[in-house]
Amino acid sequence: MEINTKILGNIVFQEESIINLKEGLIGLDDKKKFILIEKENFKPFSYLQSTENGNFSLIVINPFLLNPNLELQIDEPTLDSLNIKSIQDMLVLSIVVFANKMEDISVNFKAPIIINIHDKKGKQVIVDNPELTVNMPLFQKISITENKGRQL
Amino acid sequence: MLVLNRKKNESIIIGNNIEIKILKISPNCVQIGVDAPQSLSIFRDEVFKEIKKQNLVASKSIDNQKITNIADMLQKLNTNERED
Repeated sequence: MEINTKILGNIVFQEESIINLKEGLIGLDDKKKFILIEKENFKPFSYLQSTENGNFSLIVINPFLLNPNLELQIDEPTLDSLNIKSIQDMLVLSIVVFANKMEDISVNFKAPIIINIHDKKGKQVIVDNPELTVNMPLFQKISITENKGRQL
Repeated sequence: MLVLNRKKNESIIIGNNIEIKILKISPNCVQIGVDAPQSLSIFRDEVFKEIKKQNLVASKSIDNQKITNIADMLQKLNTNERED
């Protein structure tokens, strides 16, 4: 299959690689199907490209890379509905908002997309952690991990 | 919008399987209980709108050059940490 995207041009992908968010993104229920595009020069970021709309994509990052001690509180029914039994079954992606100033680049820790890596079904969830918000600075998180001597 | 008056402990039913019950009424706040299928997502309005907005802003913020620059910076930071 292939799609012409605004950001990355023409992309060829396998049907099996499609990530299926049954309910769509929160507030955007027409954005249900995505592919994850990882490239060496984008790491640690990846593109989450809609396969339904070439103009729609998101930049995502594994939030545990930014904060290895992060504990996301996700409710049981949600995990059950995605058939996620352990953290090994799960891919967690947080959405990044880019900005001109580096200090304004933010990460949505409050509403990550969680994906069952086996069947690629996923959902954008709202975590219960009250300290996490939709726009936490990317670089603040990094300096925290730096101070603790953690790898990015 | 349909407007209904309800007293404490009274409910409304939506469809066949959604019940919304008034649990507590105080001067500035009502406490609502929602009984609905688990497959249905329930959000506080302001949280829903905030996340929707953030999703849209994120999709419009993408700039390949910026991303490559920041990614490059982070990769260097990571390499430096390893060398330390």
